[in-house]
Amino acid sequence: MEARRSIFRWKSTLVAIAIIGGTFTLARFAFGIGAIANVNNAYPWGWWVGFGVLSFIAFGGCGFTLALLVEIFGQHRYAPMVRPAITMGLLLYLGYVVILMIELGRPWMGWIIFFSWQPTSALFEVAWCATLYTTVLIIEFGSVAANHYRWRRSARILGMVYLPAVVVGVSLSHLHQSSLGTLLTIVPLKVDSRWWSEVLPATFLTSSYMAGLSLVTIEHVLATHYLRLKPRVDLLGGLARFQIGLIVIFLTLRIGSLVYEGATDAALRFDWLSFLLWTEIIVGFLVPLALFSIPDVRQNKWALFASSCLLAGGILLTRLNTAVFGMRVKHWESYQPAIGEYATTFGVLATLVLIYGFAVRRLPIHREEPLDEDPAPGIAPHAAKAAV
Amino acid sequence: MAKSSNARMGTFAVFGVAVLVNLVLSIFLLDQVRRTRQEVSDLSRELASKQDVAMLRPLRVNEILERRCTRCHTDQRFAKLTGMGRPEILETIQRMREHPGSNIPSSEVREIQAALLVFRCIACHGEGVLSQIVLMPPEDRVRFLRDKVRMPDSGFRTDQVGELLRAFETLVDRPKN
Ligand code: HEC
Repeated sequence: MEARRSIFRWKSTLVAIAIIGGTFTLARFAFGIGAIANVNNAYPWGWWVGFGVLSFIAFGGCGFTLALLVEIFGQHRYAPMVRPAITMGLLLYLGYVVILMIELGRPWMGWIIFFSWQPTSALFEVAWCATLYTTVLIIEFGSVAANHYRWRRSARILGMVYLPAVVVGVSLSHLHQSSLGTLLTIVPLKVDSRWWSEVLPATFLTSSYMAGLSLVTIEHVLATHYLRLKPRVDLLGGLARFQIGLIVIFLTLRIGSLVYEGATDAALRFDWLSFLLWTEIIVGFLVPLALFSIPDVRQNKWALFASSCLLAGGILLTRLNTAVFGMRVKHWESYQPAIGEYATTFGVLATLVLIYGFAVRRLPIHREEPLDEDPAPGIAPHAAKAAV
Repeated sequence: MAKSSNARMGTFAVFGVAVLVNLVLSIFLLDQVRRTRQEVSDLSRELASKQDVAMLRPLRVNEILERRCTRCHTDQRFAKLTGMGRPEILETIQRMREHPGSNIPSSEVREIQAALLVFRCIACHGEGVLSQIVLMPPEDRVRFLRDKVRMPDSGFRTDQVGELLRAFETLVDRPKN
């Protein structure tokens, strides 16, 4: 009873956030971008790009990471995690498109990228890859839906293209996940030395694997908790082992490039950006690394949940640091995200969570066995609120 | 889950994070030491020359004149000022201030006058020479200016050395923007 009530309030909060976001979106289209956003000519990329684009795509990486792990590296025991991952990936990519359209402001002109070729532009490459990859995600997700609703014809066709689509999808993801880093590599003078590096494409790619695996872990713990299913802690522990390797690779690149680019004195400076840097490195990466390395943690779903939340926070912070906080253009221009920018992005996020909650109850996304005994009511931990 | 297991996890985590943070800090500090050694060994044997020091704080004569005077006409007009002394220059500036839209604040008149006076020097030497003059010991400076002013075509009258000395003082006092 108690648990039910808390879920209900959850839902109305999300609906409220979505409605506020929708209102701001309407205002943006009615009165123009200046009415709700603080982005300006010196800072054309603000919260929308740092959070809405870079981070949504990073976490949307869950789809391709799991597809890579299961279908290409043949780790079939993780197969139960693929459907949630693809569903979340699809939703996040759609969310990213919506935010991009709110930002750019003329969605009806979107077709232009298919005709106006700018093959030397990193942004063009990202736009194409993300569009194609969203199509791939629709195919992958479509085959789940088609099987469930017994649309025979579509199910057969989708079944045939499923594997090729996976291969194409994984390749496209590697391309655009790393190109997001390229976008920032080409503005060395705008990104603070503590985040700019020549290996940004590689760190962006690695962090998208980690973001994907963290999101899958967070989702698995929450979904099995609320749907009263048996959590597959063995699989989560396996993912955690991969996370250890990925964090080590990421930190080697990250620390290595700080040294290589001569940014260590900036990193040891006592200021706001260094505070962000050390929060990112210690809380976001070193603590999860230490936690994941402890065998007891890898066998405890809430410990895995908490570590994954920290890691997800670290990835979010490193992206925001690179693209929002660490961006400095001209000292006399300034930028603080406006309420409208927060409202629209969180509105989209809330809508995604609502849709996902709906989908996960209607479609065979989770097929774990139900819990045998009824757990004691009202033990939903508050940590759940931190989940995406 | 047993309490002892929780405590063990906590200890492991704290210990692990401490070790890792230490590792990162050590890498950074080693890099700092390496860089500092590199920079020290790269230091040139010769200390900065007087010229290097002079370049550090240019008197920015051109900057003053460009900001206030070359908006309406080029600096060719300044040729008229050749041979003029302080009073005539001040008079010209005063006339310029009366042109509509000239926007020359009275607080800058002294400075503009000084800049116009030494403008002639940099026509031949470039701005660097002004700082060099400033760095000279006073008696050297007077001797140097006296020699220059006596040169044919210097554009100065021989009694203008005092005016020039005062012009340098005004420019050196000039607050940084
Ligand atoms: C608002 C426009 C304007 C500005 C600013 C201006 N001038 Fe002039 N200047 C003129 C005009 C117009 C003339 C021609 C009429 C005159 O001589 O008054 C002129 C003429 C002169 C002449 C020639 C005078 C002569 O007797 O033929 C000199 C020298 C001169 N300006 C110097 C300066 C200096 C030095 C400054 C900066 C303090 C300055 N000007 C700023 C408009 C300007």
